[in-house]
Amino acid sequence: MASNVTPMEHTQELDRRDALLARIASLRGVRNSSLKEVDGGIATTILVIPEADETRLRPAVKSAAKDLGLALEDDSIVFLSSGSPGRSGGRRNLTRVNIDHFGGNFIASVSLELGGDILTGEHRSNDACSLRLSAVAQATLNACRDLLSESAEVEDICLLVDGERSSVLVSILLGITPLLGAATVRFDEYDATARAVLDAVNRAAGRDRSTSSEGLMDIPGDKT
Amino acid sequence: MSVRERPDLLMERAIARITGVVRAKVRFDDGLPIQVYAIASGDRTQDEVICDIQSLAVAGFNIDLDRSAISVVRLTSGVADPSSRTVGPSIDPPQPPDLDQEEASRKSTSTTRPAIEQVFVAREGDSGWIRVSLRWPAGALTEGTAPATERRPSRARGAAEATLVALSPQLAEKGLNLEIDEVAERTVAGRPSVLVYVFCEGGGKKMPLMGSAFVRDDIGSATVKAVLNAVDRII
Repeated sequence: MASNVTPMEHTQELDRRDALLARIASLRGVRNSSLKEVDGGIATTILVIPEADETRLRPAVKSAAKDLGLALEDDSIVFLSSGSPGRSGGRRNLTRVNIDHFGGNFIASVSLELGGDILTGEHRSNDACSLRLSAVAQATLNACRDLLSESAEVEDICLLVDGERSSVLVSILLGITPLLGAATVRFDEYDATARAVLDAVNRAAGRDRSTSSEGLMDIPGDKT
Repeated sequence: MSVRERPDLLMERAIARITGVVRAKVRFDDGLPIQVYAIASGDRTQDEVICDIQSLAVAGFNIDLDRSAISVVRLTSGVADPSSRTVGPSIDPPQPPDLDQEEASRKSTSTTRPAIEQVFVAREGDSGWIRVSLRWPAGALTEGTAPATERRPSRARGAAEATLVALSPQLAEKGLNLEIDEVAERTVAGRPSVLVYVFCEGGGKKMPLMGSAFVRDDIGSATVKAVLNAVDRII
C-alpha cells in the first residue's frame, strides 16, 4: 500500500480485499485463500480440492478482483491442492456413512476422500422411516457439492426388495437434468443409498468433463 | 485359407460397401452364391438395394443373381432421422439418443470404456434380433447379437445379452465371465427405468453387479446403457 493514501482509502482497500477473499471462498472447489502485498500490488494463494479446475478458477478470481477494483495478475495467483489424487486415479472413495438418531431427528453424514482431502456432507430430517433414505442421499449430494457444476437435489428414491436381493434406486436432479443411480444392498440400505447417489453423480461427471468420463467417485461394492 | 481367397467374404465385403448396406452374408453352394442376406439402413428402398446387389454381382463377380435369391432387411438405428423411416418388412421406431448418458459415453475417449456406436433392432414376423455395436477408445468396434422379439421384456433381455457378447473380447482378456441374472423395469420419479443385474465370475469369485438407466424411448437402448453402467468399473 502506498504511503500517501488516506486512512479512508486504506480502509476501503482493506474492505475490497476482504470482499475478494469472500468471493474467492464462494467459488466451487476452493477450501481457503489468503492475500498478501507484493511490489505495490496483491497476490493470492488459493487452497483448492484436488479436482478443482484451475483453468476455470483463474479467470473467475481475476474477474472478481477486477469487479472490486483490485489488480491481480496471472502470476500473482497461486493454487495449492489440498490433496493428491495418488493411486486412486483421481476418484474419490466413499469412506464413511454415519447415521445418528437424536431427539426425534435423523442425521446423516457422508465423507468422500481423495488423497487425504475429505469432502463431508450432512443432512438432518425428521426421524421418520420414509425420510431416512432421502436424508442419506441428500447428505451424499451435499458432500459432492464442490464437484458438481449445478445444484443437485434428490428427486425420488426407492428401496427394491426382491427375495433375498435388495437394491436402492435413486433419481437426482442436477439442475434440470435427471440422473439415475442404483446400488445393491450389501452392508445396509444407507450405504447402498450413498453408493446409488454416487453412481448417478458419476454420470454427471462424464457429462461435464470433456477429457474424461471416469467419474469422480470410486463406488465400493457394485462396481469394483 | 486367407480372407482374401474366400469368395463368400469377398462378395460380402463388396456388398457391404453398397450405399445403405450395413452388413451382408452370402451363402455359397458348389462355388456359387445361392442366397444373399443384407441389412440396409437409411433412405434407400429395398428395391434399390436389391438392384445394386444384382449389378455388383454381375459387374464384380460375373454372377447373375436372381432377385428372389436376395433378401434385404431394412433397419432404422438408434440415431436415425425419423423422417427416414420407410415402409419395409423390418422397421423399428427410431430411438433418439439419451443425452446425458449418451454424451458421457461419447466423451470417454481417454478411458478404457466403450461408447455405444449403434443399437439395431430387426424383426420379421414374431421373431427378430438385436445387435449392439460398441466403439472402443482405440477405435475398435465390437458387436454382439442376440434374439429378441417385439415384446419389451424380450427386447430388453436381448439387448442385455447382445451387450455382453459385444463386451466379451475385453472381458475374456481380463478372465471374466458375465451372465445376465435379471432385467427389470421400474418407475422412478415417474420415469420408466431399467435395472440390470449381472453375475460376474473371475478369479474364483462370483459377484453381483447392478446397472440402471432411464428409458427415454427404446427399452433396448436403455438396457445397453444399464449393462454398461453395471460393468463400468470392471472394464
